[in-house]
This record gives sequence, C-alpha cells and structure tokens, in this order.
Amino acid sequence: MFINLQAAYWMIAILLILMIIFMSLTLSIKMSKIISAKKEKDCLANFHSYLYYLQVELDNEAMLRPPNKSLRSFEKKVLQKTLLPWVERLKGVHREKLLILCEAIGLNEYNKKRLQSPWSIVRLDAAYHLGILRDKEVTSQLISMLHRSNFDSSICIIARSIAQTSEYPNEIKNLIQYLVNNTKYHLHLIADISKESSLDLRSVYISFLYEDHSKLNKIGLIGLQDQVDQNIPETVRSFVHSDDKETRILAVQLLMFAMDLTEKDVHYYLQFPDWEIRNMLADWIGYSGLTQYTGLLKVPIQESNWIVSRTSAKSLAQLGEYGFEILCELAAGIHGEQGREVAKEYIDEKLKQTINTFSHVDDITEYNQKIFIYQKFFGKRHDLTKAL
Amino acid sequence: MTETHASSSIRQSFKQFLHYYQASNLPCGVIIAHATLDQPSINSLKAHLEKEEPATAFQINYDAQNNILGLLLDDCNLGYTHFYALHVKDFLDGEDRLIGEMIVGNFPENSDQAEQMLSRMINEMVIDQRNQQEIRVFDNQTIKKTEKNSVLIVDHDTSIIHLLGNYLQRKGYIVHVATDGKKGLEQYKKLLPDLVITEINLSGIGGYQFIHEIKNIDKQSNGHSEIMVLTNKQLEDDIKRTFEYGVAEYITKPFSLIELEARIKRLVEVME
Repeated sequence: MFINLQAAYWMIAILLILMIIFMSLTLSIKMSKIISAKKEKDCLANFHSYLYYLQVELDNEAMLRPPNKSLRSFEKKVLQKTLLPWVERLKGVHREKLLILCEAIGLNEYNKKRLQSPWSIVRLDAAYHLGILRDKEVTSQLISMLHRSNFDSSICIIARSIAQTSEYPNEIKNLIQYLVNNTKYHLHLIADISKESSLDLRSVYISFLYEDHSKLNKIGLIGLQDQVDQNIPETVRSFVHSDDKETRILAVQLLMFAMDLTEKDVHYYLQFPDWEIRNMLADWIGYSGLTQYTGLLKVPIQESNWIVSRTSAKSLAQLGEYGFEILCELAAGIHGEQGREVAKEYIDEKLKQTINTFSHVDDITEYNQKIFIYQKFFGKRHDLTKAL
Repeated sequence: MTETHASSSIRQSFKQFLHYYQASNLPCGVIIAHATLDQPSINSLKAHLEKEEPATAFQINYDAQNNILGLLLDDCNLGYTHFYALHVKDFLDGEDRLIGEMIVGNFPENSDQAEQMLSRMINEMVIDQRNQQEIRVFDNQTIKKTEKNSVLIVDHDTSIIHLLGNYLQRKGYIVHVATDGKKGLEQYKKLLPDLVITEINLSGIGGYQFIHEIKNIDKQSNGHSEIMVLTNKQLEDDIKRTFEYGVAEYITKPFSLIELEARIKRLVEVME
C-alpha cells in the first residue's frame, strides 16, 4: 500500500515537472513570436516613408532607389515581406521596376545565401523567394534541388520557382516531363506550374502532342489553350477520337477556344457520343453569342440527357429573337414532347429576367419583341403584358 | 477667386530661382518641412545632404516665424525629389527636429506655375498643420473634388489596397477601401461610388453575394455603379458566372496597373 502511494506521488511529481516544462516551452515560443512580431512592426514603421515613396513613385519614369542606408539581414527580411507580395500581384513595367529595386536592395543575394543553408526549410523558403524575384542565375541550382528533394509538396514550390526563373523552353520541357513521370500531381496543376514562365512555350506544348505518352499529350492540349497564336496543329483533331475521354474533351475544348470549328464540326460535336462534349458545345454557343449556330441547338435541347437539354435551353435563351423563337416552338410542342417542359421553364425565366433588367428603351423593345413572338405561339397572357 | 497666401520668407527667397526655372523650362524639386531648426542645425543638415547626395545642387531657407524649412533642388524630377526628401527626413528625425509633415513637389510635374505651386505648398503647411510626421506628395487641387470619380476597392489583401489605392489616388480618383464584403457593402450604401473594384474571395459576405447586393441597392436607389472584378480566380466558370451577375470587367491577378487604369477610364467614360 505504502509503495503504491509512493509510486503515485512520484508519478504526480513527474507529470507536474513535465507539465511545467511543456508550459514554459509553449510560453517561450509564444513570447518569442510576440517579440519578433513587435520587432518586425517597429522595423516596418521605420520604413513607412520609404514604402510610401515606392508606392507613389512606382508609376514615374525615374528608377526606384534602395533605402539610403545599408540594411541588416533582418531589415531585408522585413522589406522582402512587403515588396515580394507587390511583385507577385503586379505584371508589366511596374513588376520589372520592383524586380530591379529588389536586386538593388540585395534581396537576391540574401536569398542566394539562404539557398546554401543546412536547413531544408530555409533552402525551400529561399527557393520560393528567388522564384518570385525571377533570378535567372539560380535555375540550375533549383533544378538540382528538385532532383534531390523527396517527393513531397516542396517539389511544387521548387518547380514553380524553376518555371519563373528559367530562360530556356527546354528546361521547362524537362521540368514538365520530370513532374509527370515522378509525381502524382494533377495535370492541370503541372500545366499551371509551367504557365508561371514568361517564355513562349508553344513549341514545347506542340512537341508534347507528338509524344507517345497520354499525360504529356494532355498537358500539350491544356497548355495550348492559353496561347495567343491560335493556329492549331492538325494532330489535335486526331485526339478527338482518342480512347481516353479526358483527352477527347481537352481536344474539343482546344478547338473551341481557337474557334477552329466549321458549322459541320459544331453539328458533329453536338451529336458526339460524350455528353460532356455535347454540353460544352451547347454552353459555348450561348455564352459566346454564336447566333449562326442557334438553329443547331434544336437537337440537343430535345435529348434525354437533362444536363445537355437544360444547357441548350439556357443557351437558346441567350441567343436573341431566333433563340427565343425556337424555345417557343419547342414549348408549343411543334417538335414533339421532348424538351417541351425545359423550353417553357426558360421562356418564363427569360421574360421575367427581361422585365427585371429594364433600364433602357432598348430593353423595352427587346421585351416587346419577345412578347410578340410568345403571343404568336401561345396567344395573350395578361400577367406578362401587365408588367409593361 | 483670389487665393490668400500665408507670408513666408521662403517664398521671397526662392522667388527668383523659381522664375528662372519656369522661364527656362527646367525642372526643379521643392521640399518643405515643418521643423524647428537653428543655424547650427541648418549647417549640419547642409553638410549631411552634401555628403549623402553630393551631385545635387540645392538652395535652403528656413522660415523661423512659421517653423518651415524649404529646399529647392536643381534639375530634379519628382521621383528623385521624393527620394531626396527621405534623406532630409532621416536627418530631422535623427535630430528630433521634425514637428509636422513634409511636402514634396516638382515643377513642372505637379504644376505649370512654379511659384504658385510653392505658395500652395506653404499655404497647406501653415493652414492645415498636420502633426503626422510623414512625407506627402503635393496634390495640385486644380481638379475640383466634385469632378473626381470615386472608386471603392474591396479586397482582404493589404498589398492590393496599398498599391492600387495609392496608384488611383495619384491618377485623380477619390479612393475608398474595405477589407471584407460586409464592410464593403456598408461603404457602398454610404458612398454610392462610380466604380467598385472587388475580389471574389471575400470574407463576411462572399464576392458573388456582394455583387448581387450592390445590384439590388442600385435598383432601389436608381443609381448605377460599374463593377470590376480583380481576383485570383482564373477558372472559366468563375469568369462566366461573374459576367452573369452583371459585372463590367474581369481582371485576374497578377495584373498590369496600366491595363487596369485603361479599363477603369473606359468604364468611367461610358458612365459619363
């Protein structure tokens, strides 16, 4: 009994000591955080006038000058915390001006030193900042860092920095291939990483279309969607008949974005076996206001897939008088029962929407035209004309 | 309407130089500071400036009656004048001599009348007397406040608020800011600005709801503000949805200030 009690006392004492240790550890971490935040705030207050100078003079022709005293590492860190978010949010001449300033302040050198740190977290942080700083001298170091690192989320940060700093499309090509072969990242994420580059990657994306690797094919198709030059290589059309559904969708999406479709093509894709493609086309016609294809939507609105049918109805409602007339024809049952209900629903919605957005004479004219078309099929409806 | 001028020795002392700059169409920078100085400290300031920026010729005058220090910089643009003012401020702060604000201006960037610009700067300092010990760029108030377009920026990102707010202010807009959707809506009801620039990812009230509420307020008040979305969201669906809510412009981050300004101008012109 006595032994048990003594053991319990010892246990309580040990637990108390452990609690005190953990509490003091937590408190000291909290305190150091508060002290460091205060130090940072004070330092930032010293730069208040300087940061205001940067904001005001950012748009002037004159170059931005670094602070008129040499900076300690801590001050560089504090300035970096403010300046790099500005660099990230801007593009064009203002970003270029800020990048020149950051180099003059010594932020590139500061981060290059940190890139040699024995601590991996410091190296990763430095890599991230050097990417934002578009420091072209560190690309090869970043590439070796990428190859050395374990396959965790840090790869994404390093890869993004490589894309931001690289001067050669071939480096980006190798980077994409490395990410595709060694990570489980979603292809859209990999394509997104490559788009951080300011280089023209059109040739890289085109070369991926000819690879015997479906993931690279897909990245090629995703990448080309953002290209300014919209001359689409002929091989894209072959992907429309790929065995892989995602590839088929991406190929049609690319043709759609490039406006590389004839009326015959649009007709064909509106009857394509994949409902996703039919839906995409129907949506695109309405959203882009492609009135020349209005008549083609008569077919998909009547199909059994309710998503495609509703999207087609929505698009018809967006396509002016002719689109509205088709909706009325369908709602009146001229083309049968299929699509009748959904057409009715969108007619009502469109008329209500037109009443609610009256602000110009044009709106009233548009409403009158719609009412005229409506009455041609359904006769007078008091609640609609009363709104006028 | 005649403008009243606060009397100051600085005006007299710089008059002939300013005439010269204006007649020869040469640029000059003007810095005035609310500070208490004596002759030794003025000499120390001169020595400090000659040491820090030896290539810049300057005139200095101190108005002991109004506690105003004036500096005239030869052949300097506004950017450099502003930078030079940081040296002056460092010295005055270090010696604990600064008692109010500092104003920087430049001929011809701020005004096509050099002497008039100096008079206005001195007037602002003598009459307004702000205690905040900061540097301010002279704002030539030739554009009446009522003619300026107002912009409400709603974004949780302070970098955007600082960068865009200052930029648009310098371009002559009256800028108001809010850091979440709820505050943005309160500001909107109060101000009914000409333009709203908003992020879609907002706290308090979501971006889409915020836009929807604005449209409702417009409908009730028979007013109309253009809405521009400035967001991180780059997905096609978001862009489509935003336009369906009646937004006039959609810009993704990172963005170009020049492009953004051009789009703002277009929207504001359409409204006028």
